[in-house]
Amino acid sequence: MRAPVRVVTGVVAALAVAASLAACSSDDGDASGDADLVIYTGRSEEQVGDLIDRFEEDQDVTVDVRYGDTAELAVQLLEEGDDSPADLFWAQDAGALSAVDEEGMFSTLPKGVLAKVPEEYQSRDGAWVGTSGRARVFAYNPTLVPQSELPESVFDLTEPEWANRVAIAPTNGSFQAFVTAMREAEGDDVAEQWLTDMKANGAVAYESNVLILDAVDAGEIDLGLINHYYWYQKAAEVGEDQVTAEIDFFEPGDPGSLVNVAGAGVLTSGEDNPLATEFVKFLLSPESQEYFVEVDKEYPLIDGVAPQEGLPPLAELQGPQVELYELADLEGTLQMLTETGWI
Amino acid sequence: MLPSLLAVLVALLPVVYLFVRASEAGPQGWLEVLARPRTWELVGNTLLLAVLVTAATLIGGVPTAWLLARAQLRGRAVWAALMALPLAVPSYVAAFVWVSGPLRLSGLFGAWMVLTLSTMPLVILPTVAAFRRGDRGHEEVARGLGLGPWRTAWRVTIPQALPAASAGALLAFLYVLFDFGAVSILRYETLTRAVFATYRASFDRSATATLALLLVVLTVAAVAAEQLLRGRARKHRVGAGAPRPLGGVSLGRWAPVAYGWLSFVAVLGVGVPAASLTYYTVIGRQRSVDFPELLGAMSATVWLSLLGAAVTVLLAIPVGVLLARYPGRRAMVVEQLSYAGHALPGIVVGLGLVFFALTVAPGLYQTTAIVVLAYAVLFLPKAIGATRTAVASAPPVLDDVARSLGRSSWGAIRSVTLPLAAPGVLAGGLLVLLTAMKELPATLILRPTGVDTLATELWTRTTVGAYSAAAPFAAALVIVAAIPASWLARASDRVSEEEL
Amino acid sequence: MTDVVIEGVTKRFGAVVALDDVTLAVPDGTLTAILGPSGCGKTTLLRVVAGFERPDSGRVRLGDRQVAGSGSAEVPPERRRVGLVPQESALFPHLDVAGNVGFGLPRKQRQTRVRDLLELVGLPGFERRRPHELSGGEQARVALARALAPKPEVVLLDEPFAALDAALRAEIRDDVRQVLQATAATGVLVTHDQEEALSMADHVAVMRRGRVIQMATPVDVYGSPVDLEVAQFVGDGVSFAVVARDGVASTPLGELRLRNGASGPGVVLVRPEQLRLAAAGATGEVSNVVFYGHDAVVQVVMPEGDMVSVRVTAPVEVQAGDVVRLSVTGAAHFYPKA
Repeated sequence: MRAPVRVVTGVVAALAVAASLAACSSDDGDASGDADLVIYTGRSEEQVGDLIDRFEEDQDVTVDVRYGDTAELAVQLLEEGDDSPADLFWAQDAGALSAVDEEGMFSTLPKGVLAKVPEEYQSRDGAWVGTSGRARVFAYNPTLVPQSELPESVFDLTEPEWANRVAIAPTNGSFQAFVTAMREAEGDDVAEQWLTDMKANGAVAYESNVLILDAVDAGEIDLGLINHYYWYQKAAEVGEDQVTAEIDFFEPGDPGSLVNVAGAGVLTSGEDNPLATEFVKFLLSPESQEYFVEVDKEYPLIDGVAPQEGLPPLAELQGPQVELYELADLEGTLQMLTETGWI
Repeated sequence: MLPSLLAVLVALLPVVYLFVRASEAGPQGWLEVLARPRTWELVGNTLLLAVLVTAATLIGGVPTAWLLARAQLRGRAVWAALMALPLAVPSYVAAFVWVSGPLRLSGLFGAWMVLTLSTMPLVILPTVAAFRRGDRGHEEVARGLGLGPWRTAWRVTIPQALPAASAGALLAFLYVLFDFGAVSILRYETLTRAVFATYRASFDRSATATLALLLVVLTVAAVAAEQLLRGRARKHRVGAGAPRPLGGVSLGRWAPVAYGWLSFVAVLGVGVPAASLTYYTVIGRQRSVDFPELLGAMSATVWLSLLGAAVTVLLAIPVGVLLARYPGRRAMVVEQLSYAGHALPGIVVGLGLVFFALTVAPGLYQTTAIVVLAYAVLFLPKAIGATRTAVASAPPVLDDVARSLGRSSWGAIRSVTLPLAAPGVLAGGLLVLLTAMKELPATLILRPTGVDTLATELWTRTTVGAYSAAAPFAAALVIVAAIPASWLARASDRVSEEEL
Repeated sequence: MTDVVIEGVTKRFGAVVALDDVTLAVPDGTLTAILGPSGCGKTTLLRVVAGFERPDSGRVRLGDRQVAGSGSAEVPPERRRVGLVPQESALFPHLDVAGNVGFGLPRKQRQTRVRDLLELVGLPGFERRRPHELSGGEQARVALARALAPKPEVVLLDEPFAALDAALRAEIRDDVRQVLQATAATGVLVTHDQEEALSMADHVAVMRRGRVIQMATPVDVYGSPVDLEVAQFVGDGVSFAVVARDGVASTPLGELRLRNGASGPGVVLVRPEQLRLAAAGATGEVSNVVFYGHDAVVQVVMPEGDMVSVRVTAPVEVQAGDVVRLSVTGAAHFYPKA
């Protein structure tokens, strides 16, 4: 009996020591204090984890990454303000970047960095720069949707024939950018009506583009709005002939064909950290751009790196008549998604 | 008294800040949220799922418990373990297993099935105990009065177990209200999921706070209903009734049905998750496991939950001592308040602490400390319950003797009460450790940048459909959590042996 | 020199008055039993002396130190130098015998003092035993040794033998009495067992409903109880409602002489040992004989229907149905109607 009591007291004492250690370490502020660079990114670890590892090895530094939804991290940055522990924001879409930019939370990137990317894929004031391109497409299951019935516009999807057959990812940054683009191009009323009609038409909310594509592929749902590269990733992973789902573009000029970028900007809270700019340069290096092409199946944005074979050239894609930097009203889009019951 | 106030303070922190944040929008903002049809759609979804799951756990759980407690069953111990085992599998792991499997379960049916399987042990375990405790004399009297075996079961046996079963069912109900991971993975829209979604995708966080408060109101109502029901259904046993040897009812030609049912539950609740995790991890793996990442997540899980358990136990000890030694109105208030964690879903605690950190203590924002604080809020009730029982089992007269022999009141507690209570307190700590390891929503919101637990790694991978990459984390979580679970099982065995 | 003086102590728990103006003095070096039915407040009184309850009013003095009550600070239990032997011994289950006995001792003195004490209570060599390995009597002895270890001036015993069987109880009472005398500590024993109180204590304080009703030597408490209730509590007896005249009362047992030569209405009490089966006296019929071995109680129904118990020594020569005659020796107790 005596021995167990002693063991128990020992364990309790050990726990107490551990607890007080925790209390001490919390005095030093956030646990990421020992990292050389802190990145908030709306891109998923699956897609960019290896690339960040490469940067860590190249520079021999430690990078802490907070993965999350693009909008979530944008909101978080705005809430944190100048106290943000983050040095750099790497978003999944231009809209969130512009929203953060509007609050003046980005410092200006060096001209040399900006010059690498065409002007339409960066902000006007040099606050952020696109790092890779992507196009909005729809994925469909050809056994459920014959070629002849494919929609021409996202506005077709509110018709009764599409009732309960369409998947969207309302918490996803790319989808939100698409909504913002629709608002810019067609007006708020049209966009809000579309969201309301989609809800009424039984469109299904998924957590992510990947899940939509999987569901379409499995025949769980007929059609879904995603980014193009998810299909190419899946095809590369399991073999093209194993993928039942196919993708197609809405007609040119349709909001559903938005061409968007993932992009990065150095936060004012990371202004003094040279590694932040270094990381943006790294993303725009040929090595990284090839990674985006080969691993993520996205469009490269610098000269000298070719896109994946079989993809239509980026310049030929025609989205709605909207500049990327105009997609800044993420707040309004989120508000609209909430009011229409999508979030 | 004073140290126990610290626990109260900690327990109330999230709700207070949630309230502060929600009231920033003013009554106008509240009305706006309440006026949205979406809000009521979510409330309806949540209640529908909770009711369906609760009903299923009762209908499935009570007969199962009867089989385990009263029937002549071959391999009873094995069956009992199999029926309890789903408790060790977090609901989001089960959800992951079913959504990624060939059936691709999701939506209301998927959520209903996964949560029913996860919560059925909550009904089975107390009901088995009640059937065992139940006085068989009553059944013999009923048979003697001419009732057949079925009518005896209906009129005597089942009513004996009903209070325990309904207490378990209400736990299941709360579990569904609180569940975040499973419904998210299975794409069934409940309040918890909406709170998280609006938190992530909204500039207007006071609306999120209002939704979270609505969830708190629902859970408080459920807890109150539980107490009301329990108060009414309290059963008194008259006389001790000599315990009889366990003979067990012969199943006769019903035996195949009984074994079939138990196998069915075991296969769904334990077999499928085990097989699926093994398949993904060992055979069907598409990519090699990222071992450094897995190890990192494992150590983060263990470290955070160890700290959480330690802090929670330290906070709980004064409250437990107060409740066991100085009962009274003041103690009751302290108890009720520090039990706030019981009525707070993890997502709400996480959110409340985010608001707290951002407005009051920016230094705590996204730190280990605030995750630990969240665990303390959530799991204080578990630790307090264990401490209180343990302290109460140490006779107070021993304190008196110690004091008459020259110890101060704290000295008496330290040299007599705590050594005696230590095994029970430690068991409470293990329970907290086990639960904290599986915690998802609060960890997700509060964790320091770059810190991933097994649960958050699993979640992020599952939400992008990377099932085979998620599986090793799920498997590791089940295995890591099995360690404190087995200690706990052994500890409770020892305790019950000592009681005998 | 430490006597225990309790002056006008009152203690309420909500609406319940547990102690109602209790005054009691326990002379130095003696053992006083506090005797009363459960709920009479005797345990509360003990806890007030020990310091676990604070009196609402009144004072407690140990020797020349006032430890509770107006005019001085409340002395906490650990500084009162009061040893406690609780109900069912309450040994620390996580400590062995030596750990229990040495609990209140400074580390240096422990070994020798523990050995001495175990010898004193008749358990030499028991140091390493665990409490659950001890019999009830051994546990009581260890509890006593533990209480005596820090050389307290006062020892409080709270029904320490209630859980023991009868034979063991008699033996251990005797031993405890001797140990207490050997250490010259002042003792207070709380009990509801009148045999225990009468056999062990130098003085007996009878308590009822929060008050001390009588404080006297065991002989006087039994021989001259202050009222009928005390009389019936400290021993058996048969009582008759009578009207006394000049120290004589007429009862079914005949004309009885009363102790205090009283007159007026009241109740007469006759102890069983005052009755004899005799050749002359009142007549009754034996209804039952309860045989105890060394003696027996013969129950006799008097013609008026009163049931009278008579203690007779063996051999018992009557049986149910016999008609017997009863004589009364000595004077009977008389309690005038209030």
